[in-house]
Amino acid sequence: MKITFPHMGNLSIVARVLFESIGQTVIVPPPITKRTLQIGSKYSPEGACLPFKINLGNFIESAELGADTIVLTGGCGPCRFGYYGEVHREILRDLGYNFEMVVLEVNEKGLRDFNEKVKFLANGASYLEIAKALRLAWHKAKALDTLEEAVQQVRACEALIGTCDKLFSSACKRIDEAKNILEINAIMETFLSKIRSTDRSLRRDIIRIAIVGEIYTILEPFASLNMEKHLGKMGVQTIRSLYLSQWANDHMFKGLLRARSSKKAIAKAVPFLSDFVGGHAMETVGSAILFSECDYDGVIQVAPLTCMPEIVAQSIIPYYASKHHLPFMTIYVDEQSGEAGLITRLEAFCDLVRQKKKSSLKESV
Amino acid sequence: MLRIGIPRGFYYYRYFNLWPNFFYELGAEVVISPPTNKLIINDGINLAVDEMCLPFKVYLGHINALKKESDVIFVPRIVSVEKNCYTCPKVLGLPDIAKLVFNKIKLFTPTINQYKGGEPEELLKETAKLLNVSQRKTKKAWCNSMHKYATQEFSTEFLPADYLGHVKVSSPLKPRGKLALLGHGYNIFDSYITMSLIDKLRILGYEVLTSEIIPHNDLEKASGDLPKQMFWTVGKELLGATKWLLEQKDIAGIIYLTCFGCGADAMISDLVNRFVARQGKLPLLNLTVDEHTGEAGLITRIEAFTDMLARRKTESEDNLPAYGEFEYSSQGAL
Repeated sequence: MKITFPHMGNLSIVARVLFESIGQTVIVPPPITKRTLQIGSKYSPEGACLPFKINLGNFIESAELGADTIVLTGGCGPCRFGYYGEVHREILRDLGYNFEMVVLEVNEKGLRDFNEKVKFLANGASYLEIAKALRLAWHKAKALDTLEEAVQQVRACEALIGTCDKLFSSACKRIDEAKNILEINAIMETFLSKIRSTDRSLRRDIIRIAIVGEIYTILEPFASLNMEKHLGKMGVQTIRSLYLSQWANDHMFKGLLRARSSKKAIAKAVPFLSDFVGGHAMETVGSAILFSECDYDGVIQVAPLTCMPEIVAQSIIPYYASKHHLPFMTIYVDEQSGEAGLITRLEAFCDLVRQKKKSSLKESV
Repeated sequence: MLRIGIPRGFYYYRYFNLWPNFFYELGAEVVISPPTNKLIINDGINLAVDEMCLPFKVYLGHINALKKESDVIFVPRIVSVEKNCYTCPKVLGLPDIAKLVFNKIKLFTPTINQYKGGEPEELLKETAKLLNVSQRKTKKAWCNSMHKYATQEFSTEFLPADYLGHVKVSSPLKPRGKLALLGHGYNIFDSYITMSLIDKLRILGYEVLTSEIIPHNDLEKASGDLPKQMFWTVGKELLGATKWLLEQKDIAGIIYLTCFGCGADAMISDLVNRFVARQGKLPLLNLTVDEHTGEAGLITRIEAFTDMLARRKTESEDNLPAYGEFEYSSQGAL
């Protein structure tokens, strides 16, 4: 069995250690490139969202490296992500690939079906070994997120552009190779202090912008056209409504771990969006409100074109934003989106945010 | 008497024979918005964000049209209408968005959630409160209306559209066979969205068949035959309908109509196309419409399709065009 999975930010580091710790062979898909997206778009339905197309590209490129088993998470709606696995399976079958698709979800067949899938992937590993693997994977996820949060703060004021991102890249490689929790923590501490002691520039117009939206597009830089890096270059400190460890906490551990969870955000959304609609619509709406209340200077929503829950969120947030004078912008991405167009919009948004901040300071004096 | 307005959109096309009767029996006056027209669509487009699908924009236009005609407008939050199935996220978010868009209008937005089976309890409770009647009376009215709804039957002569004040046309041509029209009810039965597609097909001499005509048990059986259950009610029906149609001997072809930007249809239509292509015997036409679609373009496509159907009977034509063979072939990706 040669296991592969789709890329999503640094998910590959976490997934790799999870499966290798229980003795499986893992084929990490090659980094996402234009080629990945070209292949994926070619064989995907035109109206499918960007994550679907990138995932398909990942699978086909992994097949070229010998992968034969795909592990995906699923769901039971209402968002269409729950049916990705099925459509992927049919497309790959028609293209002549012989993949075993394992969709990890609790569906109408119940827990027994889920347990069988886990047993199949576990390949004989004991519950203790699986628990140890999960713990190791969790620590890697947390370390990566802690480092990324530091980068999101310092990047805006680094003296030499690109320093923080280079450090983060090296940290990711080292954490990927780390074999135990002590090593992970040591690497994290080292790089955390390196990032925090980066030479700072003298700019005094730093603003803080929160990024909310659909999980894949905000976690995967290729999908968001490197939005956070571009914002960093423009002197913007960023924060997101979702992080990898938070997603794991919400969906695998029911938000019970002592880490970020989406419960607070969801509670904030209720006066505007009373109940779930699928996807992360409530997290998006609620986080926009939370960040606004924490005095963030602006909120940008990013989502794949045609993402149904995010369109619902996009219809709702402006009613809050106009009442509370919150600068808010929505950006949809698909395979035809261009980085230059994105940068133009980000520059315009930052200009407006800075102007607003200046004029409100004048008023308060 | 309280005037309850029901917008002619989304699930009204499914429950037009249920909701009005339910409210009538409890002593309310029911006002249905007029059939979709240019004014309604334009209002809806202005009230919704651009990325919303056309039926959503149309629905907002219909709420707008009922503003002055009713005391309260029925905009239920339809989460699920059958066990283990959902409606679409936009339908789920609809009442919350409507409340923000129409903040000065009274909206009646009970939740209908039958995901775990059973009756829509909240709808019954909230209706009793709204109309100031007893719970017992409400339950009885619901049972009566459900009975009537469950016994309604459709045929190619009497599609849901034909029950909604639509004037049937007759064809000057000899009957040419049966064409299946697949799509969400709120699209295919709205003559404005489809530019009277059903009429056009009937005038061309075809009997139009939709998933509503397929016997319920056959549909359930066909849609249960998937590796993973489709979790959208309409999606399940469309996939089941496709499988059923592929087993019939007297269908000339299938037309799949979708609105641009429909998230669910992106997945459903891909599977429908795949199932049809694998069998390789039934012609399939995909039509995508939105608020910019021109009637001439639609007519051209239908005429080309029906010309091809007629030619298949007289000349020996291959079953799959080059496009279809490439698109769904098993020849490897690269």
